[in-house]
Amino acid sequence: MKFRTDLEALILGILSQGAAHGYDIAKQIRGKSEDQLRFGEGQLYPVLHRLERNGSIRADWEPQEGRPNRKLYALTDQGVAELERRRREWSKFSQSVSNILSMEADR
Amino acid sequence: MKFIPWYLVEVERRLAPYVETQRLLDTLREVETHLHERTNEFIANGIEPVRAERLAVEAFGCPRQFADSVIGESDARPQSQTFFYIALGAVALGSLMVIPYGIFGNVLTQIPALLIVVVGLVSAVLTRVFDFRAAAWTLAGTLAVGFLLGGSWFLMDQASAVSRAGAVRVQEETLRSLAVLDADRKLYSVGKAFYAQDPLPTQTPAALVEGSRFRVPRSPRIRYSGYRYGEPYDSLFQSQNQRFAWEGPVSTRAEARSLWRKANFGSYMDSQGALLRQRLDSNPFDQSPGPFSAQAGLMTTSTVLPLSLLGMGTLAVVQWTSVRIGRWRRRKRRLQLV
Repeated sequence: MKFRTDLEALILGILSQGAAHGYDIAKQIRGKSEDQLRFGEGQLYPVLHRLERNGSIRADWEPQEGRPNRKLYALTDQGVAELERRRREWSKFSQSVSNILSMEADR
Repeated sequence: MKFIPWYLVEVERRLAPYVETQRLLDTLREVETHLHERTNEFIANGIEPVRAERLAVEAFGCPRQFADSVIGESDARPQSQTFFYIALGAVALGSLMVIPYGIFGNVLTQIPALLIVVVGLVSAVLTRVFDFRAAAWTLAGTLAVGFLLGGSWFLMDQASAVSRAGAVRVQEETLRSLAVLDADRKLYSVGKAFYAQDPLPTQTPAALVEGSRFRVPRSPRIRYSGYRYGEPYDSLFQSQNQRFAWEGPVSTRAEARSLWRKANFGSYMDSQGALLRQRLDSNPFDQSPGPFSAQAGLMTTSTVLPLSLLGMGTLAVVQWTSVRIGRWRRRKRRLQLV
């Protein structure tokens, strides 16, 4: 599975917990993966824009008191369905890998 | 050193030619917010501010890669790509004009055509090498307008394959020749009345010569320049080359020619005038004016060139102004973010 695809899935997964802006998404990916998933944070935004264009997520500008506005991303219904599809794919993929690796361990 | 402003400038420089202004502003705003928040996170972890800013920028990634990713995700066609192709088209068309060949011959003189080719090449190179900067847009854009204005010169009548410009030019020359011929004819009449015989120029009183163009045509007044659509011109041209008949006791060829002219001057002017008028009537664009009006066909080089220059200048000003306004707006918006 390509990492680019993974990043989309990761973003969808993070957003399934609630709306977040770009920096928060990057921070949560770092935090939840315990810094195991490393990527240039700049890569996040093109993927976010693509997901927005695809209709998987929507974006709204969030006004902030005394600070610049932030773009808040949230999952759409289409995004929820997309996340489910990716979860199934990932489950299938990881199960396949696990099966092979566990065979190695049984030996 | 201010790492974040530097980063934003680098990103803006790369994105600006490709991404529409609003999207560019939104992206820059997101990047700036992200970098500031990341910097604050580093500072909260005890890193001193300047280093924190640098680390935030490093974590975000190379500005070129980021810009490429954003462009890659954009379905917008690079604005300047169009200009690039326009520039190449200009080079191609300009080249056809430089080569005085067939229908494109004599459309423009070679120097303006060559200039267009050079500008087109420079525009194409600038737009490719310098990442579609504003200067290249201006060059290519002015070229495009120049060709739009000059484009009518390429229209041609398909049946006769004569360029409109060429036909108009011949018409202009013919009109000028007719005017000269009419003046000569009047003066000839005066001279004939004065001498009671066909006069030669040397016999014309000084008062009549002065301020006039009275002379026997020694060569065609109309320059032969690839005029192809009418037989009358060929006839006229040949008539100038016919051998003079030797008449009377003359000692030199020049004397014979002079006598021949004296004897034939009146009828010669009549026949030449008829030929010139026939040429005027034989402009194929009168019968098949094409998509442009008859007035368009009457545009002369002296009219089109200033118009082209005016169009080029106007577009250059518009381009320059819009680029400045765009920069000013982006700067203003960015200041609001800080």
